[in-house]
Amino acid sequence: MVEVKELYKSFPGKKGKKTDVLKDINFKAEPGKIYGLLGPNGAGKTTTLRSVATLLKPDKGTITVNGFDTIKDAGKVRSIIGFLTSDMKLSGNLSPKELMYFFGELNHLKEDYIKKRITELSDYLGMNDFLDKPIQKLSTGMKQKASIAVSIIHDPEVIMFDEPTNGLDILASKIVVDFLYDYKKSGKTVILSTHIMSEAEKLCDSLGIIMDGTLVENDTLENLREKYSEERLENVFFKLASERGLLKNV
Amino acid sequence: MFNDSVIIFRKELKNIFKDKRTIFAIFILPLILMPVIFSSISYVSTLQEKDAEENVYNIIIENSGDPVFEDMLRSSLQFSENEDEYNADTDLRIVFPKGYRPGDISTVKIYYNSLSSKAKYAADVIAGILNSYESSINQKMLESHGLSLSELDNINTEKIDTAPEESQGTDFLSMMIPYMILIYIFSGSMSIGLDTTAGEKDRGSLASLLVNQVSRSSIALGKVFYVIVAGLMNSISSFLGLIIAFSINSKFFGDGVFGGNMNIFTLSNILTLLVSLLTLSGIAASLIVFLGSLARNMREASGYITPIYIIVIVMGVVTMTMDSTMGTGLFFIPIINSVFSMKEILTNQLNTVHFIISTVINLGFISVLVYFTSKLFNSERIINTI
Ligand SMILES: Nc1ncnc2c1ncn2[C@@H]1O[C@H](COP(=O)(O)OP(=O)(O)OP(=O)(O)O)[C@@H](O)[C@H]1O
Ligand SMILES: [Mg+2]
Repeated sequence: MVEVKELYKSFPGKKGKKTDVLKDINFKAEPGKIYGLLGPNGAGKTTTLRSVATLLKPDKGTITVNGFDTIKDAGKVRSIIGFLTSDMKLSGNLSPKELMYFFGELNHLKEDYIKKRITELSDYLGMNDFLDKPIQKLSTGMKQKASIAVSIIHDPEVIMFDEPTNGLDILASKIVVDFLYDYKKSGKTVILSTHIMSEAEKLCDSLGIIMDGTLVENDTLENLREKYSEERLENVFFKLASERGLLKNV
Repeated sequence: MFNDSVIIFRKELKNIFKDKRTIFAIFILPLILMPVIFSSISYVSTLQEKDAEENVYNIIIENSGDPVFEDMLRSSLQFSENEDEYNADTDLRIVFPKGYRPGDISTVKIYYNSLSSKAKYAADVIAGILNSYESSINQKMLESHGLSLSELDNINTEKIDTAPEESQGTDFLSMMIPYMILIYIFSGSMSIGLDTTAGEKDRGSLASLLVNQVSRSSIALGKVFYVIVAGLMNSISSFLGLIIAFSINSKFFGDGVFGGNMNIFTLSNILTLLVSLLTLSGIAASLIVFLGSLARNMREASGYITPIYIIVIVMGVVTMTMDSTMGTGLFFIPIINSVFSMKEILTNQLNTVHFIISTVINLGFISVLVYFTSKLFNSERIINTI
């Protein structure tokens, strides 16, 4: 369970002026559900996820993960979250197995447990054929599996995937989508940021739509469809965007 | 914290040892490249020398009525005398004063083109021959007075090298090796150190490194350790490469250089040399890791590093020909002090005080940089620059 309350975040901009990137963000992501963060480029999705992942410190507001504060109990929070971004490119000469082992060590897991997890995850994600090959020689889909495996080596209660299907073809995307679905089914909390509407419709139980750093909607998919009397999420999104004049500048 | 940095260190090292190309470039190549470079230099210059000796020069001799001079010259230099006017084929011109007769007090001019190494060589030979020619005339003049030249030659000089025997002929070593090592350590650490910092930002993998149980300081420390070790191995192999190069070409670099002079490699010299290499690698590594972490991406990082690299090269060039026995003040400046420590060790005149000052200063410098790097890793800046 992730709870974000009155989150504000700004970055130092030009000439010492601060730019407010997140303004009063409030949402809850619950176990067994996928919470989707939707928004155009530069809306603040990554900044929100990084704040939850303890990488950024909120200017104001609180974030808790399973009751632990991301500032006061950062270490504890890190032990229960898995964080994957689309721009993470595993590279180099180590194999998926070696990388999983490395990330296990980084999470202070015991050797036996790491080994058990490696077997589990490679069976589960279908990685046995390339477990010992250098990562840079793998296909994009294989790399994506390895990235997922690495980010959940410690069996986190909460995972946050930031645009995980960016740049993947539909087959590689399917790996990610299927995984996310399975993961939430196992009772974990999933936060997914995306701007692919079909993906959000398929996967998300509830949605936060973020525009210009403000959470303009935060509801279940059905409620949003009803409220805007639109069947397709895409059209809901366009309505919200045009209300804010965001379509003019595109 | 130390255990955690070992996790990072081990992973990075494992990664690099699996990359055959990097291993080759950093550890094997210097062993081959150094001997090849120096052997080619030596080969080419002997070739040029030989060429200059065997070349048939086109020379104009003006106003010399004395066949004796021409015979003497012919015994040392092959040339065809160009009777005609000066033209493009003429290599040199030897001009005696008009109406010259042997015994006249006169100035002989040698015209040559200093851009041609052959002409320079020939001009030197001609100058030498003119000296002998002068002596032979003197001899004749003295004989007519019943004297001989050897009676007038009353002072002989002999130079005796008082440098300790084991350090004689090591000046070339102490000039070249520190410079080459300096350049090698910095360029080697640069590619490795930037890849593990700014490169990691480019690949987007730094964020996942920061979201787990390992402290930020250990990440910074682990990376610095890794770059130090890689830089050290790099410098050791380039050092060995240089030693091989010098022993192969000992003739070219003078007999003392490495012919029989392996005795500067005593245990204490090897140990102090290793310490110097280690602290120099440490400075390069901590500087590069700091700047690489500060930069947003690889391109920005090379922008930060390039000026530093140029300064390092300038430091190397300026100190190259400087004496190894310099004042204590220089040993307070990082990088420069490593160069002079190496010079001292390689000429077997290590000054313990100098060595301790450099080591302490360098360790201090490294600690400060590691401290700032770990502060950087602990601040939001590291993520803001992703
Ligand atoms: N470290 C930073 N310093 C200054 N500005 C930043 C920083 N990080 C993000 N921003 C700005 O904050 C805004 C939100 O960025 P963010 O990356 O959160 O958007 P996003 O919704 O993830 O966009 P995208 O779909 O492009 O990934 C953008 O305008 C961005 O330029
Ligand atoms: Mg983003």
